[in-house]
Formats: sequence, structure tokens, C-alpha cells
Amino acid sequence: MAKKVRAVVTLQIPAGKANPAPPVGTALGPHGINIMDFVKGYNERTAGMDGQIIPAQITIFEDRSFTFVLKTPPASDLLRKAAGVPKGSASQLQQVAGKVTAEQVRQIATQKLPDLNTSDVEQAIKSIEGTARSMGIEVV
Amino acid sequence: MHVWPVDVDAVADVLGEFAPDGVSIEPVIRTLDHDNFVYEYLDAPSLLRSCVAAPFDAMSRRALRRRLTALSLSAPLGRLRYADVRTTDWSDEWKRFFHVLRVGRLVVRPSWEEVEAAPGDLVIDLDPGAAFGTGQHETTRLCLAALDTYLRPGMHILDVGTGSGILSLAAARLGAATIRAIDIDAEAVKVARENVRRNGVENLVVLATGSLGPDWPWPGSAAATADLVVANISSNAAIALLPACAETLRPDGLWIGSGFIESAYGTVVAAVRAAGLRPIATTADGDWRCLIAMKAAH
Repeated sequence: MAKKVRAVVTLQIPAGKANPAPPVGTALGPHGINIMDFVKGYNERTAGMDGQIIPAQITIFEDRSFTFVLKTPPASDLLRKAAGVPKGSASQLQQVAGKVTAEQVRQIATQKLPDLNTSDVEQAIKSIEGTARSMGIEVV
Repeated sequence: MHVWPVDVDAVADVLGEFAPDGVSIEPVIRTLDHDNFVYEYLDAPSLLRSCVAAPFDAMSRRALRRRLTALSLSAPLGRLRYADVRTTDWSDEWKRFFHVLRVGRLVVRPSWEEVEAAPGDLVIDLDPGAAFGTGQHETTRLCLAALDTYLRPGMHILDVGTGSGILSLAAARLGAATIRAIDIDAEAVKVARENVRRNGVENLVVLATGSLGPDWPWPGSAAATADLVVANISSNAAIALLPACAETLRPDGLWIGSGFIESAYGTVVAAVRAAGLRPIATTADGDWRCLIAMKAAH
């Protein structure tokens, strides 16, 4: 149909646990889209993925209808798992540093490729390395 | 806070530790092609937002700030802004954007609004959701108006790219004998099916995932089965499907097409003529156009 894109919003939220409260409500409410419809759809499609952050990319059209697709877990999540670094907690002062191999980065890059702004694995690797660097995870 | 795209994942990761409900990321986009809803991400800071439990005192704020500054970001960390979030029923918040819509005899009503139907009003019950066609878009309204003008009771209708099903519901209310509605998006067909059920017109509207040509979802040929084809789709899709649409029409059958803007209008008219149809009217709302064409009677 004649969809004109009004906005794109990505929500990094826990699988199966979306609800109309923030950040879902604050991000989608101002665009006037049917939040319960998104919440139901998201929870249904992420059922059984408990404990993971599964991003949803929501495309909002000019007539306030929308579609959304699920994305691969954030690169940070995948890197931390690969490095064996536990999830940080708000009380920690510093992110725990860790190490990943170039091969692991390549694997993550390949996994994330459909979601990245490129179809070139080498470009994707650079982007994942960038995230690793920001997080204090070293590529060896 | 605003964060450059390359740093979004790392920052969102830290925010996620403080806000277990998650993070929203709003990138800056630019529409490249209005007609075919193609857009690109600009290399500009995205807005990251998350919600932490109150009170988020100075110590917590310092802790968050420390964690963020410990990241090796590509650019200096932007300002962290805090705002109180009022408690509101977000699940109902969006409803204030939708009200009763009148187009000719047709009245589109969301479930939470009362409508005083005048004699002759044809009411469609429709809640906006995850499928295009809420009545909020110019092209939907143009198609509704064209259906109101051109649809005669007893016609057989084909709705190409039905989305929410709104145009099929309108056709049902306007007295169509049968309506076949297709969409390549299975999710949309699900939404449309629910809307058809809510309006109690299951006996008139048949829905399926598919398209014209090889993806025709029903047994038997589509040729010469429709008195009116309505297609609110992009100009590219409309042009690609026009020969098949024309084949579906009976002699004197009508094609109502919308979903394209003024700059694509000439191309669509040329495709309409090439498909053996004769343009008979054009309507406009802002940049958007709706073209009505007729198949020759032989």
C-alpha cells in the first residue's frame, strides 16, 4: 500500500515481556500507533526466547499504521557472551573487560549481517570491532 | 541522550543495566523515495531513551555517568537529560489520534468513539493496527471517495493490497456482490480478516495472501472476473500489476488506483493506457493522486 515512512524506532527490550509502560509507551505513544497491537505481536513472536534482549525495529507509516521486524540480539550482548563476560550490573563501577578472537568477531558479524547497514562481511566486522572497543572488549 | 550510530549498541547496553525494561533507539532517517517508502539512516546521533525507577538520585546518576564515560566511544559522550515520566495509560494514549472519519457516505469509526449515524451513512468499524489503511492517509481517503462515487451495487470487486481491509469493507457497505481481497503480506491478511469479521461481512469478502499472476491464490483464472479493481499500492507495484489488473476486468470494468504522488502520475497514466484502459477521472489530495480508468467495452 501507499506507505510513507513517518519514523523508525528500535526497541531493545526483554523477549516476551513488552508492555505499554516506558520505554515502549514513551517511544511509540507520541506517534499514535496502537501500542497493545505491538505488545501482543512482540510477545507472541518472542515467546520462548526468555532472558534475551530481542530488538524490535518498528516502522511507523504516515497513517499511523506500523510494521515491525525482530532483529538479532545487540552486538554488545553477543560480544559479552563470546568473551564470557557476565552481564554488568548497575552497581559496578566499570564494565568488566574481556577478550574475543577475530574468529568470534567474524561469527558475530555474519550473524548480525542481515541487520547491519552493509552486505559486506568485512564492513560488518569493523562495526562489531567498534562496539567491542567501546565496551572495553579486546579482539585478539 | 543522543548517541552516534556506531556507539549506540555499547551505550544501550549500559543503559539496559540501569533500566531493565529496555531502551528505545530513535535514529534519524531520510526518506529517499516517498512513493516506494525507501529511506536511509543518516549518520547523525540517534536518540536513546530508557526509563529508570524513581527516585534516581544523584548517586545513581553519577554511577550511570561513570559507566558511560568508561566506554571508549567514538565521540564525546553527549548530555544525559532526565525528565519525569508522567504515569499514563500508554495503551490508550494513541487513541486520541483517531476519530470518526467521514468520506462521502462512508463513516469509519474506531471502536472507542460513538457515532450518530445519519440516514444513508455506511458505517465501517475499524481500529488501526499493524496494517496499512486506517483512513488517516490521503490515498486511503481518495480510494474511499472513488469507491463511493463509482461502485454500483451488485459489482464484483478485487482489492489488490488490501492492508487493513478498509477498502473491501467500504465496498461491502456500498453494496458489492462479492469482494476478493489479496495482499502479499500475510500479517495484513490476518488483520483484514479480523476487521471483516468485526463488520460481519465474512459472507461478502474473501481474503487470501497472494497477488495477481502466478501468485493468484484461488483456483481458476482471474481473467474477466471483476467489475472493479481497487489498488492502493505504490506506483511501481501498480505499474507492474496493471496488465494483470486489466485482464481481471470485465468489459467496461473500472480500475481505481492510488498510492502514488504527482511526480509518478504521468508514468502511471502511460501504464494504464498501455494496459488497454482509458483514464476517466483523477482526484487529488495534497501530493497524492487517485486515477480511475475504464476497460474498453469489446
